[in-house]
This record gives sequence, structure tokens and C-alpha cells, in this order.
Amino acid sequence: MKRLKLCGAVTAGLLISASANADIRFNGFASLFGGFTTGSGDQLLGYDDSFSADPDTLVGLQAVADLEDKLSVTVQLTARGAEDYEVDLEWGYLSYQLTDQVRINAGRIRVPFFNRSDFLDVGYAYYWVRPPELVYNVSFSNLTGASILYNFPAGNWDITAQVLAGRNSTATINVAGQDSDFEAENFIGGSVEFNRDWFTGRLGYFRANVSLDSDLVNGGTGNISNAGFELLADNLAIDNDTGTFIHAGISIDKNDFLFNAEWRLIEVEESILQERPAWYASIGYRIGAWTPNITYEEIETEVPGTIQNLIAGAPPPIAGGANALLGGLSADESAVSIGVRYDFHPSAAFKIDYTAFSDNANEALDADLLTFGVDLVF
Amino acid sequence: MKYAIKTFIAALCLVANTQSQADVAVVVSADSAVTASPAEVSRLFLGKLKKFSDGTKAEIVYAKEGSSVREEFDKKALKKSPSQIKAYWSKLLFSGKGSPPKELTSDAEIKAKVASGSGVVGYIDAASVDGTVKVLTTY
Repeated sequence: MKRLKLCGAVTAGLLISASANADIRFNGFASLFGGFTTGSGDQLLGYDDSFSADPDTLVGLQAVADLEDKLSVTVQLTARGAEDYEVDLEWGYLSYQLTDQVRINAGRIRVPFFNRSDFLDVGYAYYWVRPPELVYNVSFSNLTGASILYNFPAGNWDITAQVLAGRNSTATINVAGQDSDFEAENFIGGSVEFNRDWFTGRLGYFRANVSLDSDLVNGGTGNISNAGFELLADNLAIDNDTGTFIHAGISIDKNDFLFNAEWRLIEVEESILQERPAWYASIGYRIGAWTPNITYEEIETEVPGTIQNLIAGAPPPIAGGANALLGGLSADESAVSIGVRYDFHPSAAFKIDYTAFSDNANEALDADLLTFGVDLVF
Repeated sequence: MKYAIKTFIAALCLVANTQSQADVAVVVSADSAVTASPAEVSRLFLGKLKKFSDGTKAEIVYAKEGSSVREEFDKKALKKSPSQIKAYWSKLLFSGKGSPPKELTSDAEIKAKVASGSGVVGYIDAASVDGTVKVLTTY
């Protein structure tokens, strides 16, 4: 409800500015997908074994109001099936075009974590039903802050560099079934993308002070601390710890052959978040309006040596408690997806995807998922 | 009479020629001094280059989506299908990094727009080229 009110206020604000300046553009996108897991009782990415159209369905509307003197306002609203179609202010920012090459954005902005972060919700812009989830699934994707975007040619290359700073205090992380508040403060970092003809490369580095407020984790670390193992407790709690995010990605589009690969490493050392490297590689091939594709992705978390040593030095009940907490945020997972995109209309694409997911730590969680639907831009 | 027949044959050849090849001409104003290589044309029309090599600010104009000249240009100059172009501009549009160029519906409109400034660049059917525009390159 609060969100809706905020959106109402922003929309009203935009309409007022629109009537004053009369230069406002509306565009939209939509993803209408449905799917089900093929095994009885299996669950994956919000789907279960009976057909559901909510997890990947979303509608987005964007309004850009060009004010005078190089200033513009962009508002993007989304309604996601996964969030009961509650209207959410995805982005809302003020842009100042300093020069042809330099733009400053301030407000609620997208963090350029990945190759496709900027247009994550616009499925029409890529061939998957959804970008590889094991890699792309991070606790937040937006920030309240400011960014500087710098675009420039360098010989035959086109470079896009972006630096940004801000904070996110609205994220939640699921810890053993409980949604827990997650906060990233003093967030700062940047990315650089370099494109030449059919090749695009990308590098990114970000850091923040992160905190997690989870009853489960707080209770567990509290017990360990009370038992006299304060150092271990400190090394498990996520309380104003430094988190870093490193990314490298490439994208190739040559003679109808498509190749995409991205690697990222999230590290919140001295916490149960551990080291979280994940990567994927994906091949697609365009045959007229059809783009068949195949993708492999995996994540395998690792407990840092300092925590391992502390656990090794603790008595069994304490070590057991620590390992249970670590286990709640450990991941050793992989997935293979095969899919097809079919461009049946200039503004719409049909997609079908079959994903086979493996949880190497717990085979009972393995699941296969079939999804299909349409992505539109308008 | 002889002259008239010659002209008629020449005209026929011209028609046959343009129909079989449907060449696309990238055009600027007749008095513009700008130049662009095929690689630069592609980067200009994808909004990556914002200026010509001599520093003149570029303003690009597209032909209407679905028109044959647009499809030819997308295929030959940009080496992309119409839906790839749509996806490309969607990325920029919904990430707040750019908006698709203005689209004009006819060669005549594009010629008039191009003639209005030395940095305005568009593309038309090569058969529509006349004295108001200068051809940068033909595909």
C-alpha cells in the first residue's frame, strides 16, 4: 500500500511536469509466462508441479519526461506475478546530460552488476525466458543513490563506463525459509563495457557494508557467543561486514552465432555468506526467426579458511551449530537449460525453456522445469 | 524518335537495375562535408558514434519500421534482423541510456529532413537520390 501511494505521488508529479512541458514519452514491456515442474512435488523458481503463470509474469511501464536544459525524469513501474502484481517503483531518477558523453543519474537506479542488469525485466531484449538464475540471483538490484555514465569511442571500440554510489535498505534474503532484512550501506563501485562490432566485454567491481537481521542467525550466533566463542560468532554474523562483488562477462554475436558467458564472485568474508562464485556459459544460433539456445550454469559456495579454522578449534556442539548456520546459506547447484526463441511478430517473441536443476548437496531438491510464454515491448 | 527510344531503354534499364538490387543510399545534405566509412555508418546508426570524424554532431533518421528500405538497411549496413534492432533499442530505452531515432515514413520526408542540417543523416532507396542530398555510401 505504501508502495502504491509512493507510485501515485511520483506519477502525479510526472503528469504535472508533463502538462507544463508537454514532452513525455511512454513505453512498456511485458512478460507473460507459465510453467510447471515435471516431477511430482518438485519445486523450482517459484513453480511447482501444477501450472502457474505467476513467477515469471510481469508488466512494466516507463515514462520519460524531457524537461528543459538537458534535464529529464525517468520513472519505471513494474507489477510482478511473483509479488502478487503489487505495483512497484522499479526506478525513478533525475538525469542530467552534462555533455554528449556524460550523464548523471540520481534517485532510485539499477546497479550494473551483470551484462543484462540494465534491462533485466525486458525479456524481449534477450533469448532466455530468464537470465541464468544461479548467477543473476543477488539480494538486490537497485540502489538509492547517484551514478555517472560515460560513453566514448576509442578507436574502433565503444566504451561505456559507469560509477555509482548509494545504499539499499529495502532488500530481503531468505534464510531457511524466513525473509530477513538485508542492508547494503556505503555501496560504491563501477563497471566498464567495451564493444567492437560483434564482441562485447564487461568488467565490474562493487563493495558495500552489509548487514543481515535474521532471528535465526542472530539466535545461533548469540548462543555461540554466550558459550564463550565470541570470535567465531563475529565471523559468522553479518553485521556491517565488507562485501565485495566482482564480475567479468563476454557477449559475442557473429554471423548468427551467439555466445554469452559471465562469472561473478560475491564475498562477505567473516560471515555465513561465505565466498559465492558462480558462472554460466550459453550458446545460441539464429536461424531466421528462430533462436535455439543452450545454457549451463553453476554456483558453489566455499567457507573461508579463517572460519574453518575457528570451527576446527571449537567443541562439537559449537562446531555443529556453526556448520548448521553456514549450511543455511551454502549452495552447490547447477542447471542445464535448453530453449528456443521465436520472433513471430516485430514486437513480440515466443519462448520455451526446459531447465534441469541439480542440487549437489541434496538430490531431493533436484527439479526439472518447463516454461513458455511471450515477451513484448510496446 | 531514336533519342526517345534510347531514353526509354535507359530508363527501363535503370528501373530493372534498382528493382533487382534495391540499393540503399546513406545520404546527407547536398552541401554537407561529412564523410563516414561503412563501419562508422553502422556505429552512427546504432547511436554509438555521436559525431562524424570531422566533429560534426550527427542526428540520425530511420525509415519507418516494416518498410523495405529499412529492412534492407538493417540487413546490409547493420547486419541485423528487424527484431534484433528492436531488441537493441529496447535495451537502451529501458535502461535509460538512449532512445530510438526518429522514424520518417517516405524517402521524400527523409530527404527534406536530411537537407535541413549538415549533420543529419538518413538512408533512402538509391533510386530516390536527387540533387538535394549527397550519397555517403551505398549498400
